[in-house]
Amino acid sequence: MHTVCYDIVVIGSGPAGQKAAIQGAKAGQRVLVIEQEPRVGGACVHRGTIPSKTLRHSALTLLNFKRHFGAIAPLTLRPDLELASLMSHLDHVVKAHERYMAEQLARNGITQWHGRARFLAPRMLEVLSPDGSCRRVTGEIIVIATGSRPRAPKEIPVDHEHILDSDSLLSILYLPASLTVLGAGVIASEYASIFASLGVQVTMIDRSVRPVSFLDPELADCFVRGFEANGGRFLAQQEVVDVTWDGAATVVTTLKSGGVIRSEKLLCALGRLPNFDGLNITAAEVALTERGFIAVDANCQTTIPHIYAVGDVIGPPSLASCAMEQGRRAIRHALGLAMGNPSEMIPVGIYTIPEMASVGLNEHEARQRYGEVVVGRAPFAELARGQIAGITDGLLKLVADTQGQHLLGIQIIGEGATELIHLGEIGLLAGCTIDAFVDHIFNFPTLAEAYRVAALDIAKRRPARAGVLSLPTETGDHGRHDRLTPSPR
Amino acid sequence: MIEGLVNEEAIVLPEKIRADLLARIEGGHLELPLLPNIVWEVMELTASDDVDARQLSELIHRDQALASHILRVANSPAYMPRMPIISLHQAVNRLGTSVLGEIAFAISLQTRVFDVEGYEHEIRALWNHAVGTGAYAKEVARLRRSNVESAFLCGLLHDIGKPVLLQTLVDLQRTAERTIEPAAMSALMEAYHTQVGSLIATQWALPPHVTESITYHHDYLVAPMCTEAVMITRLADCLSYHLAMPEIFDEESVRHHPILTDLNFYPDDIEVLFAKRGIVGSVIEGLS
Repeated sequence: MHTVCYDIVVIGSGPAGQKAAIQGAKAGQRVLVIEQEPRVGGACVHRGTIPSKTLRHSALTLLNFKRHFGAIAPLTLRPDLELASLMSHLDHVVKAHERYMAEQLARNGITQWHGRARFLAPRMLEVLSPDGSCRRVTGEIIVIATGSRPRAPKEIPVDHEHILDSDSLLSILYLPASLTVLGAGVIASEYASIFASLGVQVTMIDRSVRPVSFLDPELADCFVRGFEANGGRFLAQQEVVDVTWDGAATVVTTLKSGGVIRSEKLLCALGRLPNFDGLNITAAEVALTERGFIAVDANCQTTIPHIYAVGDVIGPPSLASCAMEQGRRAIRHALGLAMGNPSEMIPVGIYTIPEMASVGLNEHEARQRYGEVVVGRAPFAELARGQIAGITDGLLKLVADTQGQHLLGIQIIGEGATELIHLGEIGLLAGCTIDAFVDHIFNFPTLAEAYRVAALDIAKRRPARAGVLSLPTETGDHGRHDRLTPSPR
Repeated sequence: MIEGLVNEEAIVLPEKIRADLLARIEGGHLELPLLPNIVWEVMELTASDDVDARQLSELIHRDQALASHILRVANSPAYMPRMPIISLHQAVNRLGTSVLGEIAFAISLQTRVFDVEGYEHEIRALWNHAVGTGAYAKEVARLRRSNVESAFLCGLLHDIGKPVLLQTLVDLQRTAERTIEPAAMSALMEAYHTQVGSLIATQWALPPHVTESITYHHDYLVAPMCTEAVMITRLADCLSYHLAMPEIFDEESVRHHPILTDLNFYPDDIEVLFAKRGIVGSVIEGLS
């Protein structure tokens, strides 16, 4: 069989693989992308990020309508509402995204093969097409970006009809009356809050104390309050001992505590596993972590120097934004190019309702690293824009150093959090002081004002030095901040 | 029927019968079957959120023939009752409202549509193929992470035009006092079943994924809205033919069917589906 040679072979065309390929091509390398689906994009486009965010957008629009006009124009969803009708523009969104990505790959001269890759040796791959034909390719650099798939614990009988996983959840035709969600990670929390906002009776069950445990606990608690206000229920520190479809109309979930939860459907969102079934990973000779992901260093290099692994296949945080950066970073390292920002500056965005976002250190991490820190808070209820838009359930936290001078991290919950976080991210990258957020003018009314309110809160809490209270100068903002203590307007 | 098995051009049809058939189809004069109201009531009730077993069993009891058929099917190996099901209430509790709805629909379809006197063998083959396609469609949908619940109905009804055409042709040959050769009958059914099926789908106001599966399963790439559902039905159609006639439509024929690459199924995916023969066979047996 004839073997083709490329400088860089990327397996998988999701966010991580795509960015790796483009970085390689821009550096003048001959790049091949192997994708098992007929179109590029990976699970992110077809089963994950894009479809769930499309549904989320509809849920949020309905929720906002109810908040603003519920009293004068009551809105109730038909019980037989088709889920597809809430994602009517999904096809358009997916096709547009696919087209954009395919054009980007083509524009950069990247070759694409449709098929399933399988390692024959650390530098050699065999690619099987759906029609059964095979090709062989070698790569000077190989990037594994095959993503992940839902973990299906053997005690949870996922049938994709009544008991679903995150790959099959959006295939259901009608909105269920009730949904049990097992797990409390990013995917579980996103879907739980989306379905609760659509009026579905959602029960989220997990062993942990609070959802999304890697986030700031204050944000997670705020999320639970909002989720429960929308009709959801979070059962913390619970162990599931049995899940069965009763053969009739109900999925029965039995807890170790003796509790029984009945629901029309169940979502099993108990983590994800690396997707290298069929990849013959042993032939690549790369080491795996204890949890079965591909082991990599800070530059995404595996134990085999010419093989890199990026995205979900190396484990958490399993975010598209991180995956893209990993892809870019891996190739820059492989080619000896400058690396850029450290990975801890990658923002985290969680598309729950409401959104949550974080960048830099959270309060707990900062205390662990620096001891005492100063934290400033800005509840959205204290912002004019928050009141106008009905976004009063939000909170922005700024974490500053011991002296309350230098910004260490930002955490936000509230609609718009995933956009707002970037202002703080740039502040962090630019080394902005806390005073910079006080001394500069923000548009009024905006949610971005939360940065100023939180910065003022920090200023108020700064330790006194030499008997002088360290307060920044209020600037000409037409008296809008005529105090240092934020209070409802 | 598998495309290519019947060559319509090679068969000489009594021209009057062909002309009469076309006039009926195109003129909207075809006698389309009606399902009893109780079926639609059962389907509506099973789709509602607050259905309870008592309501559903009371409704089905109004049609004793349907009730006894349901009990027979509920006790068949396909549904594996742990103990004999002796009441409708028990059947609803054991099998669930949605499965009961599916069974009620299938039974009514069998008794009202798949019933042509003198053609019992042909009708049985059509029925078994329909049920097999429905059962396989669920497995294909499961593998593809597509909707499993609606797949059965798409498969069950995809060739609904065929029994109706068979009945029409039997009526026409009786009127014309001519006998239509079996090959000619097959050719006409093959040629017009999607058109007639589409008329039935419209009359029964079937949902779009079912209607498109009926209309486009031989030409799935032009299905306007529900391409994936139609493609799943098409593959299930092939698998069901293979199950019934492995000597004519063997595993290699399935493996080389273009629907597999169109669905992006790899060689090992089709092996997973071949392994579902037992499950599909028991569903066919249960509903025969």
